[in-house]
Amino acid sequence: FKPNHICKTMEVDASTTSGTAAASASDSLSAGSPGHMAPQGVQPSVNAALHPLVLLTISDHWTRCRLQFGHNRVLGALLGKQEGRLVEICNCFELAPYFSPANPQTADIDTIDAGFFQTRLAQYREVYPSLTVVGWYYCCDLPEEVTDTEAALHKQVCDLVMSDSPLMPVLLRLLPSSAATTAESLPVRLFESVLELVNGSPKCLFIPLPYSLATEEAERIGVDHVSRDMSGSGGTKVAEALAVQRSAVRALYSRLGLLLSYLRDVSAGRLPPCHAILRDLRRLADQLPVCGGEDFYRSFYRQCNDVQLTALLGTLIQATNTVHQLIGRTALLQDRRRRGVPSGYN
Amino acid sequence: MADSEAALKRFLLSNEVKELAPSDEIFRVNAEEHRKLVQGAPWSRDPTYFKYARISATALIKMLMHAKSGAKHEIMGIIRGRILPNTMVVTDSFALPVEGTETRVNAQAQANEYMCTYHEDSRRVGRQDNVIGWYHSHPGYGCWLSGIDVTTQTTHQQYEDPYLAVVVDHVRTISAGRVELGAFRTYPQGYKPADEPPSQYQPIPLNKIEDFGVHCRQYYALEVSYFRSSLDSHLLNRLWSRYWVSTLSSNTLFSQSDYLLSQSRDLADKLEQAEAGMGRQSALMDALDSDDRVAKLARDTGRLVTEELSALSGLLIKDLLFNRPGAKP
Repeated sequence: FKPNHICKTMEVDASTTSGTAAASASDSLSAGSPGHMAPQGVQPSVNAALHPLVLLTISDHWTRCRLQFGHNRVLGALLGKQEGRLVEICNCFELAPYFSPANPQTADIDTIDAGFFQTRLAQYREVYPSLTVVGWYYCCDLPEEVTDTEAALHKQVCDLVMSDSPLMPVLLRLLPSSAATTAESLPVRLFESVLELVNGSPKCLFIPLPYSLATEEAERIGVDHVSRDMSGSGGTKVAEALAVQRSAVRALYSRLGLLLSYLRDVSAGRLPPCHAILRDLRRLADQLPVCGGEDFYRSFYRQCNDVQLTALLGTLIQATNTVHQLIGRTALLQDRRRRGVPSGYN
Repeated sequence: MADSEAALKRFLLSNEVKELAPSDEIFRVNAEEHRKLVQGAPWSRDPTYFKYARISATALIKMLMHAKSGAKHEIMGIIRGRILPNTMVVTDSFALPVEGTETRVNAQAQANEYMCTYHEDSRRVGRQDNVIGWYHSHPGYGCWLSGIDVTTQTTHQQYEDPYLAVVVDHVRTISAGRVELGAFRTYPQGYKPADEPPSQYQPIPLNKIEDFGVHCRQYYALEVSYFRSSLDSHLLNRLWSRYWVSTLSSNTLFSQSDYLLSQSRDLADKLEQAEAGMGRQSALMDALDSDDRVAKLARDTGRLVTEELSALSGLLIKDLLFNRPGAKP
């Protein structure tokens, strides 16, 4: 049971600092972990923000590969920005498997074509100069563990990218089959990779990375529009805007209902209390009212007045237009009467 | 654990054997039919052959994001897809590193090399669609074709038909809360459309209104609809479970204050112009013409007021929800 974010601002989970993580990781690694995952308890050192555009592009790539090609090797590069501890994943492009000149018909799907990668990257850099490669994506349905194929591909990506930027790439995995089940959360897993010395040789280990959704107004409206209804919209603009607000408020209401039922269960003794959650809830309740005080209300009412002034202006102009039309019609009638054209009622 | 594995196997098996979900059919390329249609070229006989434009969700969001990244500059790019009877299907778009699309005809010639390399490379990752059009943005001044756009598009339609022009306005999208996008095709020289389809009215800023008026009869708009694949639908449904927070927390009055202010100023200019035109005697009869200045002004103002009020209603809802706990509205 995890509370979802119900605050107005998107709070990103505060993880522990990376300093302690690195120390504890190297301690526990000396035991030698067989898989590619970092041991439990290692905290990721960056926070990730993901744009929905990336998800839609990956899903488009996967659908096309399923229809047109035989293999399921859907992978590509992630572009974004990193500022300090925040990695923002903005865009992505597909990567091609390597066609060796010796065998041009079949693709060697375990190797990434470096030439293609470089050309595409240069092209994207021309249009979006502020983006760099921050990671790569892959579609597969297996659960939490990072597999050997992924690790091998990751190593190739690291080699390609390392000369370009100093950061370790992030792995994003989309699970297409679990998308069809009715689970609530997004079927996306992000992993951060760290280079650790395991048994004397450097190896990439993966730490699951929590992520938040990056928001961009235009993107949000586009996503909203596409997810609602495809056909031409009925109803007025005001009704549509209010309908969007209503569904957001309804989502808030359902989350609050969930929390309330949890609290009731805890107080009735049906569930054991979890102190972290209760502390969070308390903090949330203390934050209401979110914005209050004299200053806020003064500027809020001033803004309301400004908008209503514009509305008054609008009404005045509409009224002027009506009068204008009335005058026009009167003038037309007078003109006809003057010219002797029968006006229709004599 | 065993249950989920069994479920996974069953799902994969059923997905291999069964037909695709109907919404995914559009992604399947039927090369034979497509070739027949292209060779027949029915659009050369009927200038209004294409009536519908279907745009994929991915292409839409890519175009919006590219437009947004250009901020106040107009950006342009290429769209790819294929044709179906009476319909142009847009499945993908990509950006071109070109500037100044509103100042010169065929600005994309500068990026020809970029476009060719990009397009050829894309075949290797499974994008088999051809180039069927171009898109560009009109930040803040609506979706229509300017004189230069009309010339560019006519040239394209002459040599590279079937071709589509898409115009996206990201500033108005954010302000109005709905996607502002138009898909257009121009008529060939000298063609007079048999019946005038009523075009959807949109307010045009004063400094662009002449450009709009001169050319607005030379092209027509296609009816736009959007489609998505089944995986897209699932993802989008899930996205909403996180996205509703940003819907509630968005504040259009702040983020769009520049645009709203410029619209108000534009309205003031139009009002002055309407007033100046009042002096003539015959102006009285103009009132009955629906293209009259005052009537247009009334419509433009109505739209601005609606946008501002919708933004304000968002703020009022938040105030009620969070600032007055226990109050009954």
